[in-house]
Amino acid sequence: MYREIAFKSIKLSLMGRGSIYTMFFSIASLMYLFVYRAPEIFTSMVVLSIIMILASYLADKKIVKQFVITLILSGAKRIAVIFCLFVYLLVRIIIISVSYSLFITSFTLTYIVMVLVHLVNTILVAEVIYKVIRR
Amino acid sequence: MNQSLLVLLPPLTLFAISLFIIAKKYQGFVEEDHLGEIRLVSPTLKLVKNIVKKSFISIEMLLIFLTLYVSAFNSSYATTFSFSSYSLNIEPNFSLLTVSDTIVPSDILDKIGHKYVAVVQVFTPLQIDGKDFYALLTRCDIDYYPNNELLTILLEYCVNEGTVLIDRNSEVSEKSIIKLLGRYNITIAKASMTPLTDIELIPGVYVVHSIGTIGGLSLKIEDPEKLIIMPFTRSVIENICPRYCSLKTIIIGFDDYNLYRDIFDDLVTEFNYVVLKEPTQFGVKVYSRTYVPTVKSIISLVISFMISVIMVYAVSGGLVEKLIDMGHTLFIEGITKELFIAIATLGILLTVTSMIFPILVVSSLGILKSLAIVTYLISSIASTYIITSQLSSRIGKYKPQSISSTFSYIVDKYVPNDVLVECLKSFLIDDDFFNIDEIESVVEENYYMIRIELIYRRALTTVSSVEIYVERIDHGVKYTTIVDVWSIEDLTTRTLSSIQRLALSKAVGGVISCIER
Repeated sequence: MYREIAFKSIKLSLMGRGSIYTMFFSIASLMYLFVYRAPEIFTSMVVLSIIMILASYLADKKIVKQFVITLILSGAKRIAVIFCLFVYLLVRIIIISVSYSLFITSFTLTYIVMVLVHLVNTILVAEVIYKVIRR
Repeated sequence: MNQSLLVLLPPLTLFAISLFIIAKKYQGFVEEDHLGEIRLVSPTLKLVKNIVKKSFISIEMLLIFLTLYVSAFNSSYATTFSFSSYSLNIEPNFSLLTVSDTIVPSDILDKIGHKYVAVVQVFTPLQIDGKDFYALLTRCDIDYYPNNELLTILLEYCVNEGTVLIDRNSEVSEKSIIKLLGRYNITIAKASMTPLTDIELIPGVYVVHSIGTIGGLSLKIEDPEKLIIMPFTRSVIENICPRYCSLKTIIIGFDDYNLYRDIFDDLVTEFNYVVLKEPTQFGVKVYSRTYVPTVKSIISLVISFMISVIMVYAVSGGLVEKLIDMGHTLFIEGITKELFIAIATLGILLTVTSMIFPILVVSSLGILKSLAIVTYLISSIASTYIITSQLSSRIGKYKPQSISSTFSYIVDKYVPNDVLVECLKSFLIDDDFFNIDEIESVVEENYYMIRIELIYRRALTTVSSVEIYVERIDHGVKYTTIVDVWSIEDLTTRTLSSIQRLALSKAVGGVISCIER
């Protein structure tokens, strides 16, 4: 069941209008990072990418809401819905992280912390979205 | 890493505030208008206030602000290290060279360390024995003597307090110098000034007085006999420049690169330009506080702008929907589409303008560069334009969800026909929106029906006809309310639907309150 939900979420995430915005953001941030190779710019771009993920969700709010409500009505448990939202957001993160992975050549502690912050943030956002929709 | 954390701090604070607001909003918070004293308020002002309020508390606007702030920070940081720095392919004998058009404060000299030579070029000529002399004030703070060709030359021209150095071919009387400097124990020493006039620190910058280069020709003092070297002290400056002097301060540092890197911000603020020699790289870098738009800074501005536009496009949908919802409530009360768009534009513009103050405060403190303000302004104008254009394009196309004009309510309490009629009359008689035109009832064997004709007060000929059927079913009573609206005015379907919903809610509210009375 989880595999099916994951596939559906990936499809939803790629088909949504937010994914186009995310792609544009990814290109813009890639340009920025290559013009300015500075840790300050990198950290602020990471902050911007977190905002972008929230913004891309808001762009697809309606269809995500419908999808989640359908899942809830068909008897999906809380964990399954959060998993679906997590996968949905993860696809967006992967689109954004393409630019970062081109920029990062070696994995230092800062970058690993950034990745962890992103993952924890995604889980928290998935939880918040679930609560908001469930409300 | 500390600087990176500083960059993160403002957006993270805003992020935390926004999360807190969302958490508060979804913790069963019910927006409620408390009944208060009725005051006369300008309706337009109230609408603008409501739109500003609605924009401020929305997650979309918070995200837009976060984006604008981070973009402003980005472009500001981008300027700090790229704005007016350029490289020169020369190998100098110094690690630092700073040039200023004023006398630099002594605290910055203390920070520079103990391996520097400070030279003040006084451009106002001094009249000594009928001849023009150009004063050069020097101060050497050297705690050890490295093997450096430039420093060796410069040290020969360092003078102590009470000593004046002139060229070996030049002549000045001791009396004139005593008169000029206002002290008695003066020693006049002589040395060849030619090595000093030949020193070129970077192309176009000399130790002796120069006003730069024109067409490859350097404009500097060529005649060493015109130079007079004095100690760089407060009393000397006060004596030779009683009022105002045109002068230039040059500091040549020989200390470690890291020391200068640590005080870099102070140096760039105090001096017109700073030349730094990085030990690992060939050539020097010239940093200037005079910001000129470079290609990099324009790229930064353009990308920041692009990112803001992408972000605004992504989040504007939700905000526009919220504003449209608000608009539909207002359309019923007679506000036109154009007026609402104008009010919405003004409201959003006010919100965006008011949020520039944190950036203005931060940039006035010197934390952010002025390019941050430019980035914020350009991006915010674009954001306002995008939101309002989306609002105006979608407000015409928007169709409300079709609602059922029928409502059924099943309870076990039976209310007789006449009681219900009287109750509904008393309920609707003082209504703000509808006026009862006629009310009649028909009693049949199994059911009875009440028909109410309501006139919509805020239009001329819009009538809502409400039918209430009351019938007994197995173990209870079913109250069914059907509402129909018609008008001879040219009203849109949307407006009619809104009036229908309003009439249905009034009728159902009346029936429920009458049952529970």
